[in-house]
Amino acid sequence: MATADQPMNPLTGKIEDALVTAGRTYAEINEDVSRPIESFPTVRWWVCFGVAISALFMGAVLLLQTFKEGIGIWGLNRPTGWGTDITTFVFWVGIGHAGTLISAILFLFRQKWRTGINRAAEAMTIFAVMTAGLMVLSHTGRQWLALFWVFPYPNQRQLWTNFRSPLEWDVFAVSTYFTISTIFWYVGLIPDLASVRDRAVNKVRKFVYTVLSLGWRGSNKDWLHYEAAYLIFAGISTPLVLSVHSVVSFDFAVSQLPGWHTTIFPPYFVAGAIFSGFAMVNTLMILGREAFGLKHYITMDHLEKMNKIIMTTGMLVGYAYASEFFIAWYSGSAFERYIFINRAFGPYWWAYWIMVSCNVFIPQLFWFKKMRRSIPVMFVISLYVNIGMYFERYVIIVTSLHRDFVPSSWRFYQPTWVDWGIFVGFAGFFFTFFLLFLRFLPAIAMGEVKGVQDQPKAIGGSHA
Amino acid sequence: MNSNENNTESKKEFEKPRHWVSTEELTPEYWANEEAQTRRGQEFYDKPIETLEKIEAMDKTGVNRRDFLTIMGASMAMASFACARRPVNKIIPYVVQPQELTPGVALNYASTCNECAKGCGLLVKTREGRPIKLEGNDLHPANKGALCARGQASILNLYDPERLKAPFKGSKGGSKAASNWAEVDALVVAALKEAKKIRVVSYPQSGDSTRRILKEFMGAFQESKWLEVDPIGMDDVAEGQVESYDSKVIPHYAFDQAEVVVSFSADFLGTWGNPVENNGLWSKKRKLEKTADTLSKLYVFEANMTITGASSDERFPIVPGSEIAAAMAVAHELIVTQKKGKFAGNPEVLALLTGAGSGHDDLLAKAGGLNQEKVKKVAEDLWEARGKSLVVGSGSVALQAVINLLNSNLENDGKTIDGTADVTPYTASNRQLAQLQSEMEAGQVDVLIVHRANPVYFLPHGAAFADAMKKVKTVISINDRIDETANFADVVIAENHYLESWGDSHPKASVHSLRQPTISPLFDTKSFEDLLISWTRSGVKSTGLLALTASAPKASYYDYVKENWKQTLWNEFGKGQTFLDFWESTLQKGVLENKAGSSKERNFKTGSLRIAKDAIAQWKTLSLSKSKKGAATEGSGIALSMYPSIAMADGASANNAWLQEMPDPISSITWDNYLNVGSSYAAELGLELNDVVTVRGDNGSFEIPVNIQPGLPKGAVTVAVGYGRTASGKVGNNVGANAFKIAKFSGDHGLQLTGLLVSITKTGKRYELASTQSHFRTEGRPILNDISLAEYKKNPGAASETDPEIRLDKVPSLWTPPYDYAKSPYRWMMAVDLNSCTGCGACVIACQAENNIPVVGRDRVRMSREMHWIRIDRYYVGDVDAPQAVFQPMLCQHCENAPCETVCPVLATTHNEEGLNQMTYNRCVGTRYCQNNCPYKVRRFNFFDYWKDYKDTMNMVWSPDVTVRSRGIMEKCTFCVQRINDGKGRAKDRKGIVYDGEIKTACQQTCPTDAIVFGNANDPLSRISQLKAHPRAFRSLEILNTKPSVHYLTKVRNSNGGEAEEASHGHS
Repeated sequence: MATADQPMNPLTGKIEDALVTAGRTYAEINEDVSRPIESFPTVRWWVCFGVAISALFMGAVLLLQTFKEGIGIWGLNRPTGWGTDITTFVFWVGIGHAGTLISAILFLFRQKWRTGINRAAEAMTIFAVMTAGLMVLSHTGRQWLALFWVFPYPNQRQLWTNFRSPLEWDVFAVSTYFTISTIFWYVGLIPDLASVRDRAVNKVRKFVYTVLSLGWRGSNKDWLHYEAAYLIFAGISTPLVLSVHSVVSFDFAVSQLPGWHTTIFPPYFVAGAIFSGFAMVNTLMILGREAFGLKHYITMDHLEKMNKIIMTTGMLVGYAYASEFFIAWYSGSAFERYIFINRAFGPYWWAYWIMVSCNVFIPQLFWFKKMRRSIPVMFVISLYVNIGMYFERYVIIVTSLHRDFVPSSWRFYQPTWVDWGIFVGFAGFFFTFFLLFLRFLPAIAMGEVKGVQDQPKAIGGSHA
Repeated sequence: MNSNENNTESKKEFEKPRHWVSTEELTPEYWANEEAQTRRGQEFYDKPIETLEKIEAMDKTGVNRRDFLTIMGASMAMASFACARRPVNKIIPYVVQPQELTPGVALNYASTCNECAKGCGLLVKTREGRPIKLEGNDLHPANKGALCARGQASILNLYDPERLKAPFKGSKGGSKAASNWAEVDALVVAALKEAKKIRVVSYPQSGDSTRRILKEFMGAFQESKWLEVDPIGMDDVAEGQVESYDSKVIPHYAFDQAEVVVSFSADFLGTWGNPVENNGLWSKKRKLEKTADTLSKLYVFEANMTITGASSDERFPIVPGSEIAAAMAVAHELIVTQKKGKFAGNPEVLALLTGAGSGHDDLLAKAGGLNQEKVKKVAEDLWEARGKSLVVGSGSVALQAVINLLNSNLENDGKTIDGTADVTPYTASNRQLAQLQSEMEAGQVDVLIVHRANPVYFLPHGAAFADAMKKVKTVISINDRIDETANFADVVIAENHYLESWGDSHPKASVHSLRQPTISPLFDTKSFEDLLISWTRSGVKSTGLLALTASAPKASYYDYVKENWKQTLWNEFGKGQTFLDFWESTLQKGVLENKAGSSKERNFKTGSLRIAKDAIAQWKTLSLSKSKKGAATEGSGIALSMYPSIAMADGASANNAWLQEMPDPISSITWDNYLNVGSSYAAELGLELNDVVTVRGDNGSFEIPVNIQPGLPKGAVTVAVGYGRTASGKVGNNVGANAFKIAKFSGDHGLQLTGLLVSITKTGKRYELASTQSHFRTEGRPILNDISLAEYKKNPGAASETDPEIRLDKVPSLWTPPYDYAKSPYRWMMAVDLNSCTGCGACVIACQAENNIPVVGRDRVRMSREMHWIRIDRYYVGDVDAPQAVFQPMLCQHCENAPCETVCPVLATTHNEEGLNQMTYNRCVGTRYCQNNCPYKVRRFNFFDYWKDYKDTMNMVWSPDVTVRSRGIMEKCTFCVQRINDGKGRAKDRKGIVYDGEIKTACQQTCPTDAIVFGNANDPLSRISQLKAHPRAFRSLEILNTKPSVHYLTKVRNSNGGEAEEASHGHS
């Protein structure tokens, strides 16, 4: 690593490590990023894709069975009306947070290190929100009606939706988030799509990317408008990052169920969402940079920064856990107290302690620089965080529901194999899309990377 | 001009056409051709399109070009629609509408229930000629409008698709094939004509006409005998009456007159006597509606944990079989120690009570270590209330002798016990089956007729009985299915359901009621009595009215009943009326009551105590368990008591899914029977819930899962009978284990179900019982209130005020109510008196019948997906080994601030201006958020299309007034909105408003204790308005400020030592 590569941080004035290592030229950047698009997929990709699409297929079969028979084939009962279904939904919505946070908020804060990972993170966001949306639709009793009845469309029966219902807010929040994220992502893609178009030798590819790049020529005017649009979308996206998961948390906070009815939920959920989102970005990036040879663009510094954020948000989440217990005790409400004692020491104690271990204890390893910069350690931790965050939602949903106000209705909830099959199927859905993304779209924002690379060895490339 | 006419004319006289093309047209030969004739007068020689069509239609498809285009267009149009239209089912209106029938308007017919022999009065609600709901007949003196769970459920038996649809014949114990009436009748008549010795075995018959016709039928045979058998009947009471008073009757027990009631294992609120009547009478003294009202006091000594014990004021768990020792201890205390009553100076009584082996301490020890102080208090209370107290018991004839002594000594006989005027004639006797069996084994019986009795199932040696049946020349079974006993018949006669038959009932001396068919037989079935008539008509000899009826060619059992009533009851009840008037008015009312009789005190035969003394002397065999501590897997010498469960009773209706899925009021378990073991005792034996054990008695053994049942003493286990049927149908077969297998049976004592010695061995297997309530405690939450009478007297509102946080009246609300309820003419509310509720479960089944609530099955109950809109939550109170319980019917609370309403994204659940929380099924998409947010957890989700399980005739039980819900939607109690609308409609017709009590919800209507009151809270004079302002009124979980429309009234228990109770107030 050459010292000449080290740029100065405009905010701190400190010299930092280069964002792109090994002094890649613009041409090499284009070459590296476009390679997966232009070559036949590797065996590794095919194996991953095979696994993902098999899981997707299994999930599809189980979901069709659910649509045919009814959601009774899941493990839900009374009082536990929500189980793995909503857990999976919140999990994926949470994952979806990191992308926009990285793209928009870090962009506004001029965090240049984001450039290596923002494209893939945004893609992850979109696929995660798609997964979540499909899950939340599937969980309803009559999916074929829920599909459109939850939207307030004008109709001759003058039926409206219930604007007081947090679920209704959810519909707006998630659909808005999905729309804005998609547009933001697409806008960012245009220059890179043009690069791919210009490199294309295959006629079909040329045609497709020509259409997708919307006539981008790379002129000054193009860049001027592009930068302005990107900034505006970053501005629009920023509040959404905070709002979506706040609204998702209202699904719980607005109810009167002990364990759900908590004012701490919006910040707690947002922190948790960023936490899980960054962990998922890490998981995907570690795999991606290995599989596609992108180590020069997604460097150890990137990953270390991500790890710092993971540790910070992990502690925020840990603070929320502690605060919940304190408030449950301080409130004097017997219902609240019971639900939290039951959470940690009741029949679902294992889920609670998996959650605490994965989310609070394990990320503490990141205090050590060695750990922050160790690929195996951070990969394992990122997986743990994903597991922990899944269990966080599971704990919140299931332990609060299974023992609420009237003890005569207390029951144990146990997901069936169909529940888990559908969970795996949705993971397959997500990864299938993500792998297709890696194959067909530039996984790294070439234009932006070039912008933050200080000293190219040679002038190369076409339009950026 | 018609071409045919043309043709005929042309033959006669040829008329040349006015226009012609070729000369041949001018010849008649040309016009003789048929084709030419059809064309004559046409504008064109050939119609081009038609010709083309004809040619095209020549291929074999038969579809011509135009049709093809039409079909293609239509199919394209149809293909372009994504989904098929629903099939169009045309409704055919009445061509000639029956005069009394308006489609959409229900008709009620008075009838009599025949689910058991108690004969409660019924109103059968029919819609378009189809019974859809049974309700109690208000005019009936016993049930007074109420009905039990089994009575409510008996309508489902009518539509059971597994009922016999035709008579069957075959070999005994072998296969049977459907036959026809001609064939079967011929067979039966031939057998009857030759028969000399005939035996009839039937379930108890309460109808006078049935009794008469059967006697007349049997009268013509050389030797005949009629056995009425009832495995869970009251043989012991009737025979005890014979021992003590020389009359075989069941006395009338006036629980409404009794200030102190002592029960020795008589579950009179659950299954003993007529529980509907008992509940009604007992609860009259439990109302506390006015502050001046007092409570009666109920002491229960019992082996099993029953709803009677749960509702008692003091409960003493005792070992099964030791009821006699406990009763003797009370008698000893009262007569010997306290020297009270007219038998205190009777040397014979004193001798029998104090003789060897029955000293007072000895008796207390034998009853499982009863506390002498407590027994003393029982005796004192009884004496205090002499003439206004009541002692009842169940178990053995010996116990009855002691009970009769107590009642006579306490001057209750003739006052709270009526053994002379208003009694139930009791003719059943299981003992006789022993003699019948030996007769059959000796080959002496020519014809055996079994009418709905099932001795092969309920006798412990059923297989031997079945073998004996094989030696009978002809066995005729009259039944609605080929059950365990009918399997050993030659001919199985398909019998009507009682709702398809005529009949009558004479359950008590004072009551006569009629049963009328409300639907013509669904299948090719006949009633028992009509069969007797038709056999007589075919040449079987008979006597009396039966012979007379048979001689009239078209007369049926209907004419017989009518004639019988004309001969017997017209004179007594129909003074001044023509018979037709009398008959029609009675048919309309359904019941006749004769209040004339007054009861007299009877002379107690002191000698009858000797059997009690003998029983006590033999008692030593029944001692406490000798379980091996440590190893703790086996217990022997354990006393077992069998009891009829409230839902299943003797198991006759085992194929009734409503009853199978009805949670037991105490254990909350559905779909199985189980071995109840007390909490401490189970710990001692190392048994846990759902452990499968082998219960071994003298006659055999069975495997059964364990239920840990608080309130059972050490050394005792109990099990419900009526399960383990093998030939009841798809629903009831192999549900649970048949406990009758290890009962004792002898010709001397009949069927003995209690005080049996068994051993228990753990099998190591596990079996998950399907319980609807898995958690027993209230966790100190403000869900329900109960206090002692002493506390209540100090401050009637004590319980409702215990937690100041609960009273939220003064807290300002941020919530604007959507309606000003005060402006609406109606504000529907309900009050449930926990003091009256005995947990009998009738409301659960009534609601199921009224609201088309599906059955989900055992596995789904295990997953907590049962659909009952009203459930009875049971909370134990007191020590874990001797608890009582509070029952809380829990249904949708119709909260003013309903948590379910705000969270529904599609507004499927909303409030109306009358305070109802409404559910719009069509709008529901099934997010289940409402259920999550409901603190009372009363919302039920349709996880599947449950209605699809209602196949064949089962469909007919659906009420057309209530939507049958599809899958994926939420449902819950509607406060019977269809009844509210019906009532409002009636009020509108008379241009008024609904008056108080006009609308009754299904649960309220059937409640035997009148615990549920529903009405308009905007009417200040209505009962609901008064009850909701009652000092005892509280709302469940009021702290949540949901403002429920359902008010509960605090349970007040008349327990001894109210002050002590106060200190330990709360729920275990």
